[in-house]
Amino acid sequence: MSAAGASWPERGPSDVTGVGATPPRIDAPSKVTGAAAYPAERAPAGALHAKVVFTGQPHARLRALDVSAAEAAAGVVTVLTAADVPVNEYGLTMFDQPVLVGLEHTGRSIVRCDTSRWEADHLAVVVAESVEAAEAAAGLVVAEWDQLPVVADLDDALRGEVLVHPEDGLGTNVYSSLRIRKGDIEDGWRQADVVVAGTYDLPYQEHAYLQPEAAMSWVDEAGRVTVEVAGQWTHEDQEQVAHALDLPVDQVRIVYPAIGGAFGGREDMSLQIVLALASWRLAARGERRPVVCRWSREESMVGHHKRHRGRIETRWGATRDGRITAVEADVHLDAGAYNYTSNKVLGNCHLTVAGAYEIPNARIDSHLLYTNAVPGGAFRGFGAPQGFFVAECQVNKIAASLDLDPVEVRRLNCLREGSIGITQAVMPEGVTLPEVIDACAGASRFDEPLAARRAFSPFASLRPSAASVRSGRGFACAFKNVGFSFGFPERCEAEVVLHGDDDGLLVERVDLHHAGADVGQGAHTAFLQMASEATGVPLDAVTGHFSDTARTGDAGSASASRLTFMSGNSILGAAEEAEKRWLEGDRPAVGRFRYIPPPTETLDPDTGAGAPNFAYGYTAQAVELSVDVDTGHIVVHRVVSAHDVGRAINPAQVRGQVEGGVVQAHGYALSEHLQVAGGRVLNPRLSTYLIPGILDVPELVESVVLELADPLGPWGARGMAEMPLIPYAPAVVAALHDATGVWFDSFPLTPDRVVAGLRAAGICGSHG
Amino acid sequence: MHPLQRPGTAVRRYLAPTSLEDVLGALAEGDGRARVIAGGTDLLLELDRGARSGVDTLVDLSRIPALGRVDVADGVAHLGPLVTHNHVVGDPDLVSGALPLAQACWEIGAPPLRNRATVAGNLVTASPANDTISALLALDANVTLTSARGSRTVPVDGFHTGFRQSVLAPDEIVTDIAVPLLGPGRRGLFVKLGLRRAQAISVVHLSIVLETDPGDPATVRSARLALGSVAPTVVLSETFAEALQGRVLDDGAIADAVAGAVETATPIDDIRATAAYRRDVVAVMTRRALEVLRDGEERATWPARPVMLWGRTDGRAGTAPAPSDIGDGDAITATVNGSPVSAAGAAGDTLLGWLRDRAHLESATSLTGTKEGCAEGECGACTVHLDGMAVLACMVPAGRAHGAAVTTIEGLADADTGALSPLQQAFVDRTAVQCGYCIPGFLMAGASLLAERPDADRNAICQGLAGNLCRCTGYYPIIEAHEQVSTGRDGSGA
Repeated sequence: MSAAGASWPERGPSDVTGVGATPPRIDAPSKVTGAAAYPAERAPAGALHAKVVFTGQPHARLRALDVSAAEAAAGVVTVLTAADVPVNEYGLTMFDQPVLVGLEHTGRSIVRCDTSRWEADHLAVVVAESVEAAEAAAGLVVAEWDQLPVVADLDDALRGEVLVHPEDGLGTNVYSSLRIRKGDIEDGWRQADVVVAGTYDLPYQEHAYLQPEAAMSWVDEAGRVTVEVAGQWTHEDQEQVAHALDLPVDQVRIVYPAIGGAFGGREDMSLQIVLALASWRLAARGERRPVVCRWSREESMVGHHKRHRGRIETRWGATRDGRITAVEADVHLDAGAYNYTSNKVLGNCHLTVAGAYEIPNARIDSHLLYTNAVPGGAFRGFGAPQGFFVAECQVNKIAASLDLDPVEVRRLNCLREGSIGITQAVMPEGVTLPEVIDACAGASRFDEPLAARRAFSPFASLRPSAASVRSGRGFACAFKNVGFSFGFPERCEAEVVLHGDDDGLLVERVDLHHAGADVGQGAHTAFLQMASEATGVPLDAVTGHFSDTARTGDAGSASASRLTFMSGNSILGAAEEAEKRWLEGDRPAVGRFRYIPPPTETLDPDTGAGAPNFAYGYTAQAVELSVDVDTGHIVVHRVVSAHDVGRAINPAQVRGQVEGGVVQAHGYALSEHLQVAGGRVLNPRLSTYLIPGILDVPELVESVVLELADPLGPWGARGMAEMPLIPYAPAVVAALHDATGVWFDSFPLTPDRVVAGLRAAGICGSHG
Repeated sequence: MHPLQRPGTAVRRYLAPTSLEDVLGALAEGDGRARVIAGGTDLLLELDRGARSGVDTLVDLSRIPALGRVDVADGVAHLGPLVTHNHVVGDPDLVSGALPLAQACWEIGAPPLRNRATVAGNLVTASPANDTISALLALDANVTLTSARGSRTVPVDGFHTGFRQSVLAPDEIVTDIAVPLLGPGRRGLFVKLGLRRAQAISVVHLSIVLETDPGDPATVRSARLALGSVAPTVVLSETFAEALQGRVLDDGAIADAVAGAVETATPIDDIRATAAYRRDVVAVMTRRALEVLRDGEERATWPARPVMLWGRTDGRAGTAPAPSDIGDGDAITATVNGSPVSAAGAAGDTLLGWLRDRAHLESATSLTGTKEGCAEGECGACTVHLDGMAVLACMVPAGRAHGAAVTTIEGLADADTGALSPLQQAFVDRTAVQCGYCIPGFLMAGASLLAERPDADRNAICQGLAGNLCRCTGYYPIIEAHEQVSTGRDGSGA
């Protein structure tokens, strides 16, 4: 059943249904017929409609708010404001954001609520009999604002003349900082024969999941305020709703139906609290019709967080033979108006900016700054794409400056079993980066000359201009932690129920209760495969009950490449527990289990020393591309994406994550250019924020999948879903350098940016 | 509230007359509050974004089939106002005689959009980024404008008066676009620079038409270059024309013409590109285009079998030409997946909104499989079949579907047995479904493609799906699923 790289199977139906097989996804039939219900699609006739009124103010203090005209408008049921929020604050890792901006402080909240710090801060919730009535009334909400100077970007924030959160008492917009001091940095520079320095500007990225935010709320038969929504962690949503509504946790219920993509973009609150608030307040006055809200694409793109933009200055030293002796880096990430998960993202960027290498001497200072721009937050890779972009560009520049093979430089420096990482702790057992680098280099034949350039035309109506096309290739590698980091409590619960005759020995069927979110990656299919494997019961006799806080224990989030790893261990434990009870005669036999991995540590504030993670996954990518130096258009011909996944629970779904991750990285590297100025998103549409279409993607993506077991992983599985996104952008930049001799320290590599960079370097085009 | 949340311009009445006289009468009576709608792909967005304020009535031309004709007479092609981009792409006379126009139409949006968007609409929207305008300008087309007051004909060269402005009066409609056809002594082509290979708004587009001396085919007698997205309107380059007049197309003449083209461009920085870049690529595009014309290769890249997503139809609507007049709260009746569904809505509903929010509640079967991902014709998640052709339901006014046949994702499986169609089964087999939100749109585009071309090869598959965005799969298993069903996989049927 094993599927090693060399014998990687075609994707297709399989009779085998346990671990290592590719059965049909359990949700595929409903998704190809349109029957699958996404949030708010089961709204009954007569449901109420909510409109969440955004402030539209990047930075302004509320002077007056008048909702009387909106309340009096035709069809309006209620208009909720800050005064209606019991505890007017929220935030996934710290409370720093009001649920609704308002004039008066409520409850136990410590967050100052009278200031809009973001254009998409929420001001009011209008509930009406129809969408049209809600929208019309929303326009009647009258707010008067005192404008405050907008802290538009990192430079504004660093100047510190205007503070985004003066109430935090820090006196600066820098609200979180991390340090690494390893070895003797001066000694590192003395040993260096070559020093490579760079300043990298890192762009935003928008998740652009195909389904904009939507939700439906009601108070259920047990009196629980219930929100059906697309999220990534049911029980965290539940806690945040309970906090803001000042309710016991078990009086809040979160249900996830089909989820239209997430990628980290649904980790934080969008509609959860405001819709729960609406249903809770309405129920108190006897109105029990469900409340529905759907955001437009524009509301989604303005109204949820992004991958962080940032700036990283760095300097690396290496010996003549390519051994890295010193790394210095100063990292600044733009957190935007609120923290979301920024402090954790900063930590991950901090850990990865020195790459996947043994670095004897390092000084790294990383800072997080508030601005009035859209918040940064979780997005596939979680800080690692920014860190590794810098690290891998630096290593490729070192190799180029020393005329060394970039793969050899990596082999020389990369982390291996027993290596001490950048935080001065031994890497968790199972470091397979050398094997992954070799597999990628071998499959891409990186040691052989690149085949002749392949002409292409950026113009559909014109033949290629052979003289203007240049080709090249690049290499990069990375790791990504699996699971929560820095001492954050990590756990995952599962319940397995074995059914059968009282006196029979055979388990006839199995129920699995699990909260883990299937955001599209196929988690629920993989859960059932693992439950089938763990109990020995065929897949078609295993029934899943998923993602409902009323029926499942806390599984943690669908994030951090953790869900297969954590869920598999929880299912194994629950199956074992159920089996024990089965043998004791229980019918049905119920096994509940909470898996807790080895603890992780916060980093020492002065040196960064500590063991921040318990497991990693490793990846390397090779990219071949051509560029038209006249127009700056790039075509990627081939991507070899190598991964150690430990064990492919479902090989086709692993391949799906690799291909999807590579294409999402392709957009990040080349075309996705979110423009934010003056605290406003300038291109909040799919017509202006360009994700790759079917004609734009790499011509060929080869997934090379190694199955080198992680010692802690279920059946050896490692996390893998974020990894394909991480090394791609620096591999593309290296390939572009290989083609043109020019380094690009900022991206996306849009045609105008490429042409400007080439011209600045004296490459004047084919007729220059 | 946030400016993006402001409600759009509300339409209160949707008229679909069956004669031009009734259309003109409604426009005259509307006194500026009535606006004609053909494909609607621009107008619906303008209304949604609050433009065209004051408009409260739409007058649909689609029940007057004669307005969709292409007639050729005396070396001139006449396009009616319902001629879509795909009609042009699929018309051999126009491909032969108006290649720049056909190329511009082929490069706009993606097939489902091209099944609705009209050439006349592209002209009337008057954005400098609108691709057909450079083609019509270079081809020296004329446009006839008609109202109850009478008709007048103006050259396209004089039609546009500023950014998104034209000489069209509120009570007028475009009734004819007259395009002088190319021939042996008159050749041309269109070139577009976009930031994606489909679904791209032009960073720069241009069209060139050269006339050569019959006695001396190597010598340019006259030359026209129209440049788009480099000024408030699409502009003709006088300096380009002067540089080429009487010249043989050698390297020197091409260099002079390129300089002339660049002189005409007065671009600005915007979210798509910098002004400096636009000036740069005007030169690149002009030079490469002239080299291709010099070598007589302007038809070399034209697809032998352009993908239309017409399914099994000939691309012409089959809706019965009965007039309709729909106001807020009036019922719209359509045959949805073979069964009549009648549901009241708002006169300004889109077909997407009507299906999901109105018809869904009246229908025996669920109708929420058609998804909204962007509401601006970019993502393809709302693709349905209207009169047998793939269209974007977010870009179709619901009133257009009154009396029409609509097939949605719920109608793709066997109605009696529920058995999946071969393409649906292939999506399951190939693990082509992840979050699944885009999948109904892909399946509706794919079903149309395979009905039109059962032997679709990889290139045709990608062209057919160019209007559908997926954020999960990278598209590869979706392509494989189509190849599994196509009779011509591995390119053998191409």
